[in-house]
Amino acid sequence: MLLQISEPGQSAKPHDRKLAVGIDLGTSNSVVASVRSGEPVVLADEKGQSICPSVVHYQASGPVLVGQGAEKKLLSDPANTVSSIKRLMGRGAEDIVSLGEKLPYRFVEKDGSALPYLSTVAGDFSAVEISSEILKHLAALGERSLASGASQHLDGAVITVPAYFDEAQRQATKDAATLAGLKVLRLLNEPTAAAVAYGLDQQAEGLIAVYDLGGGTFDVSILRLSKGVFEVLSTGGDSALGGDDFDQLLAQWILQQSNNEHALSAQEQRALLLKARAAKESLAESESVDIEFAAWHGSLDRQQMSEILRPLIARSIKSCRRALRDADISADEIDNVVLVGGSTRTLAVREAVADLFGREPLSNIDPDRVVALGAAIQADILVGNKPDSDMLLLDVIPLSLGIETMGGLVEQIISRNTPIPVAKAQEFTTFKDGQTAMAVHVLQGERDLVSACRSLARFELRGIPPMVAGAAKIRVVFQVDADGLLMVSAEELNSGVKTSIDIKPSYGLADDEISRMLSESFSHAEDDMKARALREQQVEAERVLEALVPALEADGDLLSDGERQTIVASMEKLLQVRQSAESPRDIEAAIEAVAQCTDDFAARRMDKSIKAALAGQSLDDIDSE
Amino acid sequence: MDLSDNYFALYQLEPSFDIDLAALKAAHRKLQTQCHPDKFSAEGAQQQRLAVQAMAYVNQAFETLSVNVKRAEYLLELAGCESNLENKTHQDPAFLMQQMEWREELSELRQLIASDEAVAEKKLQALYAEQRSLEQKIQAEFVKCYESGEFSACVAPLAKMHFTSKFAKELRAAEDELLDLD
Repeated sequence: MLLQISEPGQSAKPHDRKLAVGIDLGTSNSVVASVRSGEPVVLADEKGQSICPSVVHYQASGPVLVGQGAEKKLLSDPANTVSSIKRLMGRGAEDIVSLGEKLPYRFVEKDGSALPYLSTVAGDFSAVEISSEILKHLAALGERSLASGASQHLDGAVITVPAYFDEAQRQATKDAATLAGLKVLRLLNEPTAAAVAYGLDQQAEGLIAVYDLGGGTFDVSILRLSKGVFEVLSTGGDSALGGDDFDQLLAQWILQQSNNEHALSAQEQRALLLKARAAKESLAESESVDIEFAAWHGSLDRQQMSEILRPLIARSIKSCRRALRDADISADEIDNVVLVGGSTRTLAVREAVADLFGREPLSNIDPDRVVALGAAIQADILVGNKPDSDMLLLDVIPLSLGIETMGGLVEQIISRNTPIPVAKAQEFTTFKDGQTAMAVHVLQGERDLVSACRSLARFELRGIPPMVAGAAKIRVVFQVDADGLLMVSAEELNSGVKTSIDIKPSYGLADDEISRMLSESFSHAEDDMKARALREQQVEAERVLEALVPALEADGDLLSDGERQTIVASMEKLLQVRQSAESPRDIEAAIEAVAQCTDDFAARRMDKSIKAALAGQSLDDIDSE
Repeated sequence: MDLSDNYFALYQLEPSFDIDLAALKAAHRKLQTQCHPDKFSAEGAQQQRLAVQAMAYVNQAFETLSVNVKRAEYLLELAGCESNLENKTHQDPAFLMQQMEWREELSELRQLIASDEAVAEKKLQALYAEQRSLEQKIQAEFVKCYESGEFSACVAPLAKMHFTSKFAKELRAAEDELLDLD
């Protein structure tokens, strides 16, 4: 019976290579990479360009432009050309003010949404939608360069995020990928991705510090590498510190030097920033650079630039010391220091890093490409192309999670640098007789005051059975998955009633907003959307069946005959539906049916595998590290 | 999922305060490589969900067993002894004196950090040493009560352990300040 499942009808060929990419969705530039013939490579577009400026240009009519094409419009049409959108991911309207930048865009508010929307000639768009344009562009590039024979579509992508991104920023990134029609295999922290690229390249073991200064974000991670396991010991950073800030400081300096008095137009601002950036980039190569702005002519040398940038670089070095201390490691214990991100080309940055760690940092892999390469390696494994790989990434949560308690204080539930996935439970009670609902405010950050932390979401627990005050015991479980994303569930312990939770993300999109955007973006191509959804469900069905057949062969003894028959019947049904169904929902339902009758089986297998991990040896026999 | 084993059983350990932390860490690494969700990425969403839960459970177990005060608290929980700590902290006058003394020392330390870093550093190290020595004494007290099966008598040393570990955290925060890391 089982042979029938795995042989005739099954079009899934387990040995087919799946198409997977790693995407570095950067503030200034984005890169897509994939593993080909065992080697990670960056994918280039038709013009041979592999670094795509993270710029999106909206036109009154005609397609959305992304990359080089959009970059050309930065000066001529600043209001409709969006750069550095990553800085607004997971952020609210009031954050834009506190980012301290003069952005040349017009923001509008929408009813029922805390998100700022950028107003363009093509309509109003959130940061999530704008980012999804970049992801669509990169995914299409990946598909064009990878597609062959039967494999025309990407099976999945690993998308990198700054390690220091909070939950809202991560969720926004995942939402952007969903909108772009990508299956996210993992949100991977950028420094971890870089460590993977270096670790596998150099066969390194020991302690690694990754210093990642990009266009808009700074990260530092301390990792221990051992036998293919990359264990993040601590991470730190600043999600609003990067090369853009260098440009801003240099632009201010130019303004001061030129004694400019009048207010700058959006265009002049853009031009000034581009000048500042060009000067910074020249100084990576030469000792001094001439600058012209309006009527002013002057020059800037490396020494002067170091002085101007000193406070920003010092902030990053302090984060490094913080991360070392959190890992309980001293700077001289670090075996390798890796530089990542275009902004590490600035000489003063390299010097400061070398000075802290007392060694020359590595930068032999292009700092603009290393993150995408590492992500590609992880994507290749997660999509199932390398079932025998020993590589494992153990990451941490970068910022503590807590809840609001009386008096505007935060009680920490999960502290920073805790390995993920992690789950913590917290018990609450009611303070009024007959109270059937309660509100929980979840925050992220290290400070004690609610006002000094990031608000992530407000949860409303409903359906608590009415009892006298203090009698209800509500257990709320906060679970953070391997992507660093939070899920909350709640249960009243005395009655066993599961309370339902309404999530209101403070700076995110609600699920229905995402589905609305999805349907809007596909409304002109309804068939395309349906075909994609159908294909996704078919792939998921294949995955479920492919995994279950060997599972039944290996662990069939965990099942009674009856259980086994029920499972096999549900699998046959799924196989049949997968081939004949025209609606993705039908396949989804059949997958759900399989999941339901294999629930216990899956749990028993997990239990067995945990026991097997330690079986046959007492702890004394296990080598200590 | 049936992860009803207690944390000690998960690591094939007998419930005890004194455990081999290096061996615990090595066993933990084996469990991590076994049940990390990435190891199930090629399987369906259901197996993924389970792996996330299993991994979260294993991480929680490791944290509980590897932190002294959490391990002690967990031992009492397994012994069926609800430790209602809030009522127990102030019953030992000598310990109460110690608490007040440390609080004063801590505020002196904070003033020193602002005025004389070298002296502050010396005082900090002295307080660390005091904290460690008292902590060891209290842990020994806990172990003695626990091993003789007097679980309710364990609650008092456990409450003190909470205090000393909180004091260690405060010292670390003061050190952050001294290192200009706060």
